[in-house]
Amino acid sequence: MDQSPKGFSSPFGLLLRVNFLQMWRQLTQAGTRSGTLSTMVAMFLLFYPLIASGMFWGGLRYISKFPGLGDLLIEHLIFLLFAMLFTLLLFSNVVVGYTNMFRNQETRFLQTLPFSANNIFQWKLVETTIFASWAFLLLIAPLIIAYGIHQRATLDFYLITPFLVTLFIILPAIFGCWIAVFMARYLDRSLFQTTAVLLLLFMIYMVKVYLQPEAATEQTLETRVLDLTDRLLAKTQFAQFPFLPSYWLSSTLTNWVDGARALTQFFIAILAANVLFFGFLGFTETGKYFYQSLSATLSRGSLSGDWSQAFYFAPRMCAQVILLAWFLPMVDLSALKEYWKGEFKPLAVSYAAQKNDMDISTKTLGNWSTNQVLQIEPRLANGSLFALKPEIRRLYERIESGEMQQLGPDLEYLINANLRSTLSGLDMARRRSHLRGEAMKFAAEPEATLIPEAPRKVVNILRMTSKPVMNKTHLVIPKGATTPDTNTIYRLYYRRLVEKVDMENNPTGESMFVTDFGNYFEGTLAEERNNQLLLTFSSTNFGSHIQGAVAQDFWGAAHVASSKLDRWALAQVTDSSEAVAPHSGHPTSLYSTVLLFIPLLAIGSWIINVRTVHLFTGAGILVLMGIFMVQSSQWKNQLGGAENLSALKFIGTGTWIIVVVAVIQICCAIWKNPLTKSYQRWYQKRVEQQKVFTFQPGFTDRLLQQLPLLSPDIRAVVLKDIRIFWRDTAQWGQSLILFGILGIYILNLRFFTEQFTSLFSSGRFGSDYFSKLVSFMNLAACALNLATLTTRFVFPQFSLEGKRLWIVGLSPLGLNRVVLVKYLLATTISLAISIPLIWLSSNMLQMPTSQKLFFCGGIAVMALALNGLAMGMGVMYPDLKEDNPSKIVSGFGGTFCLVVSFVYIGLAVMMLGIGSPFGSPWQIFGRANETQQLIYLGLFLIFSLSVGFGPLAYGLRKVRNFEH
Amino acid sequence: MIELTNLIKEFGDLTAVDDISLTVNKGEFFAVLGPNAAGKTTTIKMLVGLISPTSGTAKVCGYDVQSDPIEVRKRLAYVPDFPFLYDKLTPWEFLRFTGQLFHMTEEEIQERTRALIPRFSLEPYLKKSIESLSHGTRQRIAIVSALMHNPDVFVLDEPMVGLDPHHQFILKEVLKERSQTGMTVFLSTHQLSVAEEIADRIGIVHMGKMVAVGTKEELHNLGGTNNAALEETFLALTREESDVVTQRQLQQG
Repeated sequence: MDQSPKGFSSPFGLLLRVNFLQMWRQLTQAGTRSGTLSTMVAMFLLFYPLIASGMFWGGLRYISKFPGLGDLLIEHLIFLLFAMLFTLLLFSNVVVGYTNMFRNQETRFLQTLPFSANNIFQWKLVETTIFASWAFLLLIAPLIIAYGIHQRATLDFYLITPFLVTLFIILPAIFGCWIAVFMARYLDRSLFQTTAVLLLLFMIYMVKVYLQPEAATEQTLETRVLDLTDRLLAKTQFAQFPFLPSYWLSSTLTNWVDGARALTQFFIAILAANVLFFGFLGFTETGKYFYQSLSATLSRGSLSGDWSQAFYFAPRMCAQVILLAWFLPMVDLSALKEYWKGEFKPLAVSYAAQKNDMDISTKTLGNWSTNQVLQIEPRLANGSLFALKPEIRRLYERIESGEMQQLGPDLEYLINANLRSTLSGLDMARRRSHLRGEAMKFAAEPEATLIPEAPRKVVNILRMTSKPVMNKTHLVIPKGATTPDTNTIYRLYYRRLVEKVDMENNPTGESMFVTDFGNYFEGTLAEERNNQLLLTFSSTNFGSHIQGAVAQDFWGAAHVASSKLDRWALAQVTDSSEAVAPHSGHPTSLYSTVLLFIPLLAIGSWIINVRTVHLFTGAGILVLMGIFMVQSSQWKNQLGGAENLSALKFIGTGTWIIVVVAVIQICCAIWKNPLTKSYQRWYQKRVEQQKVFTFQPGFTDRLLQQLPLLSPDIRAVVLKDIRIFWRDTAQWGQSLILFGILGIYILNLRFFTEQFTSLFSSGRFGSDYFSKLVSFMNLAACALNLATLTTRFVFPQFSLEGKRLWIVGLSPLGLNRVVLVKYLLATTISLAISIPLIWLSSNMLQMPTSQKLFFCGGIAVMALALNGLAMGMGVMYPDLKEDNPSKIVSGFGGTFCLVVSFVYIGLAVMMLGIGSPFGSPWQIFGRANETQQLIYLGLFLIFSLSVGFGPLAYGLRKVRNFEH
Repeated sequence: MIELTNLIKEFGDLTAVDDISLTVNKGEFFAVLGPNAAGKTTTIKMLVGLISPTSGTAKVCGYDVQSDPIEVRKRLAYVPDFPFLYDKLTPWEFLRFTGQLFHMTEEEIQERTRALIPRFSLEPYLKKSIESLSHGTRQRIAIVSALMHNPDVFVLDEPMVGLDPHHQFILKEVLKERSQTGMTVFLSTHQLSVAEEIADRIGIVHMGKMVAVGTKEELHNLGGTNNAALEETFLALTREESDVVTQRQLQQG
């Protein structure tokens, strides 16, 4: 690495020195240039660790109070924190690394000096590690301090942690830089854009699949807290994957505070060994790849548009996609789960209706539930669902002990807790089945004694019948289709008219007939002439054969004609059938471990990259997938025989992607040359067509021409801004992450209200406290998102004119009108984003239209204010030398603008909340009256106008006399 | 000193440099002329090792740019049209940094810069931050930093851009002196007068090809009429310059 003659600094050392001198100057000059900025930074550095550590400590203390779970939760949080940190650092290193290595003039400068490519990569790796990691470390440092304080760690914990974290950040930096080098080598700009967008959508999909919210009813929250917590923690299991570097760091820290030094040493050794290994590879072996990538980035000026080379890369790309798709759901069991939930629904409705009838006793209800469970069990627990048996029996136990209140939700929970929704290729190769949780444990150990004594008898409803005719010793009913069995006991149940209720137990106005298991006649059944059946009591002790007050009254007043008691149900009492363990077998005859060949074939064809291998891979995968898909019907048969489901329902997204991509791989491998040629012909034709210049305005131009009130000069400015923004993908591309997070947020929002409202129902703030809180938090979230966008994109608008300021500044339009046009354009776009966003999120929160309109009005005013603020401050703090908007924003003005925007949002949301006619979390002493509402809403408007238009007006005045 | 052999660079379906072969001898001053997008900068980038050629080789002082990059860079200096400098350093710090990179001792750095700094009028700026300097001053710093280690080969891409006439003159003087003492100069420019005035040989690049190479006099004769001005020769050889991109696409298509 160091080839410098004796007495001279190594090139790497020189680079380090000169760049650290640069950074130091940057720091010190920033301090001397702006006193306000220095004060702000000093205040931040002083108070942030204190306040953040205090808050984190409070949070940890609160979590630790969870009975029996506190320590576990905290440990999970630490693992999760470092796993997320690892992911974020990786992403950050890819972005920073790419920019730093391939979009930076320094690299080109160094490339012509006597540095080896390895030297340059080494320096860029160090630089990237620092730039990509420092902010994350600053943010998490207080949390680690809080964790140490909370766990009463000794001083050595605080001494070793910085060392370990420094080791840890090297790994994502190396991996990130490798990815960046790979991207630069193989992806040109348009391919990169497409990949980034696809990757984002894929990640949203994965998060959506992985974090599938599960409905938690009030009942399960009360009775199944531990189960639910377990399942919640199960979603964080990925953080405890032992091959994750974050796992090694988290294990070291948690074991250190626990005093388990031997384990600590082990994990430190693993971390250090990996850092040394990958560090060595990064420092010695990446240079030549780096040079190829740099050469590629400097060589691809006119590649965009011509994708003919894509056909050459296509088979390899297909192999990559197949490899990725293997981790997606290959078997989709959600249809089966839905089928079973659908089966339970009528039971749940009937149960809810019966529960609200005062005349039905708890015991009767208990009998009914027990009977239903016993009837479901053999059906549900056959075949591969046999493993659900202990859970069903546990349900039965709870009914018996009177603990169980709701059958429907508990059965649904039972399905969710024990069956997987999907199985990926990885799951199947690891021989995971459709079972999870307790069921998986039971299936692994079928001999286990988990089953208590079950009741022997079960009642099977045969059919409905009309009012029986009384006799002295028996009852007469129509024969219907029943053929009586003389050795069996029959019961005639009374069917009661009850009112239906909704989820909140409020009557719906509809009514239904339910079987009243507390009122029945019991006896043997015999066939009589005239198509009649006789229900004969086996003894004269009628009390033991006639159960329930209604049945007894009916028997006593045998001759009184009652039109009310005309609905009955004939049932047969049989021995409860016991579900038995099926023969052990595999759901499909193709063993799932065979699917391991798919990634192996994909990797093989990616590496070897020869036509024959691609053909072999594609064909092999298609055959495997063909067998797998044909066998999908066996999943249906094995998993409880949901007859109305087609076999294709069980094929997951991953399988479809693999099949389609394998076909593409084969096609591209066979017809690579003809496809390339035909594409090139088409492309050349298009290029020829484009050469014919028509002097016609473009689409956006024509669109803008349709807008009234836009003079040509204003339209020109608007068009220029739109085009420059749209074509600078590097700028708006970064915001894709923000929109990705927003997408996940909105996807999950609909689960907020219904799940958590009940938690606060008994609180002192009233039952709708949480929905009010969420609605305003949602407004704040949308506004914060808007503030991020305005600071990122609107604030640098004026500075971006930079060296080109003379173009617009000297035009008849005038600089202040240009600023005004930019403001109006930015506001229009902000409104177009924020209003649908708030409408959509309010819709997810099931707000009434009037409330949605209220929030839309609120966000519209805030959009006007935030844009005015960003534009005004952009003029007040211009940086005309800088062309890079992200650097303009990261200066003093941008930071100040962001802080002011956030403070404004906090105060504005509070004012809007106090004045809200729909209630808000701030109205804990009651809803404001109309006058108060008007005052607060007026204050909100005045405050917004002054925050937004104050800086804008100042900025407009400033540009009138702007010297440039 | 410089040896380009069948150098080709393709960007997708566009051949930016199309089979250029050229030898520039030690101490020779070679100027490359050509219209916009002719392939001058791409050729220079391959010569200094910024990009790798699609095929062909570039050698400097007998070393292959691709296989022996370090040996090449030790003997080569390059100044692009918009040079990179560390903004937060002072010119003096930057010059010392460059000198150290080329393993110069403190004495050597001081001795060589003492001669160059006054010639390029850099004394008043030596302690100022580079970020506060004009484009021309930055260009002069880059030139001084490139010359201070006495390269065997000096490659300049449009060096006159941003320089005032006085410093253009100084640069020409310095380059002439250096080439007389054995330094090979490879310069790309649009200014025909510069090439005509100081270059030993001139190459004209058009649509990726070296369409003409020769001394000033030899090129004059290529213009169609005997002793035509270099401008006429250039225009004759690179006709339809303004539509060069279209031409190349047509050529490719």
